[in-house]
Amino acid sequence: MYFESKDKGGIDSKSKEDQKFDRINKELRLKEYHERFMRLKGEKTKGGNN
Amino acid sequence: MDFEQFKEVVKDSIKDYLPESYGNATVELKDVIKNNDTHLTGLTVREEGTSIAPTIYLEDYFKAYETGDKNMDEIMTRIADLYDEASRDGISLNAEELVSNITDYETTKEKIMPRVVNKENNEERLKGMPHTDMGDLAVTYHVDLGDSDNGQMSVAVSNEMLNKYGVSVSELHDQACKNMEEMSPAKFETMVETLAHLMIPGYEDMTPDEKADARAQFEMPDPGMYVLSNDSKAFGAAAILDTETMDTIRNDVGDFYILPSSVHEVLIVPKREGMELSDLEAMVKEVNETQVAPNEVLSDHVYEYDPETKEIFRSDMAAEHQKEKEAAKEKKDVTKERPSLKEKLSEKKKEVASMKKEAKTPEKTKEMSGRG
Repeated sequence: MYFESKDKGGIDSKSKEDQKFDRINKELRLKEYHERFMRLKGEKTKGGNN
Repeated sequence: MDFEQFKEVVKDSIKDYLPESYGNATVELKDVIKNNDTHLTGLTVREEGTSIAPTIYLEDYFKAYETGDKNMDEIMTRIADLYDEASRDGISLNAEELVSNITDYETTKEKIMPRVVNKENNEERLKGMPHTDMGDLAVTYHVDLGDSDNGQMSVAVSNEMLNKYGVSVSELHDQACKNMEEMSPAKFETMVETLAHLMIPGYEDMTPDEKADARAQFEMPDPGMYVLSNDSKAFGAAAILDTETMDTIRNDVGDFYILPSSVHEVLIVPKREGMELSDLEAMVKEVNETQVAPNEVLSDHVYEYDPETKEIFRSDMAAEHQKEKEAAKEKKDVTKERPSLKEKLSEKKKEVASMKKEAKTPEKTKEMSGRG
């Protein structure tokens, strides 16, 4: 949610529900990096062995 | 119904779903610019006599309508409930109280925190905010209003607020970095450790042996990648501003690449892993496109840290960074060799003083010898 103030700009509010989504999104992107990095490493090791 | 029609329907019928006390409330649609110049449509219902009003973004509700997940009646009921909850639970009042002193620098300065964002993708948003350039990234400043039952609240420092603060952007930057180091220190851990925290329930409370067992069960080999974030885990990419942490990391792992995984964290890949820069760049680009929310993307480039200049620079512009560094060093050396006008004046003054002294000395000697 966001709060609109007449004279002090907008206030961003991250609810507990938003924070849960942030955690899930973080898990997804870090898992993706982890898997891709492992694959790259595997390919590199294979290449090195050849 | 497209989004334009959806917005109008919501605006026109929201009062039918709210309690009668909202009869005189003003309903407005507002365009809110978020990170990476993402535009969101907010619905604001302002009750008479209040200076603060909750704004609910409509994009997710339209998605729910489009996919058939929820019908229009369910959507309107949910939005109306959210407004009523904010009003009933005093969230709006709480927010009003929290921002009451926000334009006073002395009472606010210790709550100001930095965030690192993409400069190019925030061209529009940065026009209204004081910021510090950092290559193709920029540092913005936000007042952290704390974590309450209602969630985390923050306000972005605007140009108007900075005018009222009466400080320079550089002072604001130094204060924000100091606050970050004290209130939300950098957190550096292996990728496996971070994933374990996210995926294994109760991991935080386990003993070191239990943690090792849990990680082994997960069959997650250590890829030699690290995660740099902060204690609060929100907008933790700003940890790259902490040069002491960056120096410690370099001492621990040697030279390294920085992968901007999102505005919330960056990944550290030691160069000793022998990865190709082009592979890392392709990985960042692809993950940004497929896994990162548009308003959380930090950059499509890979970066490095220069321990000599304490600067972050783009890896694909390493040659330019080196040239700039040498040019700056040369300029510094020349300035050192050539005395400044102030130094010249001071030298002249000394010369004159010394001449005057010399001119007076023989007389004094004469006088003294005369006395003898």
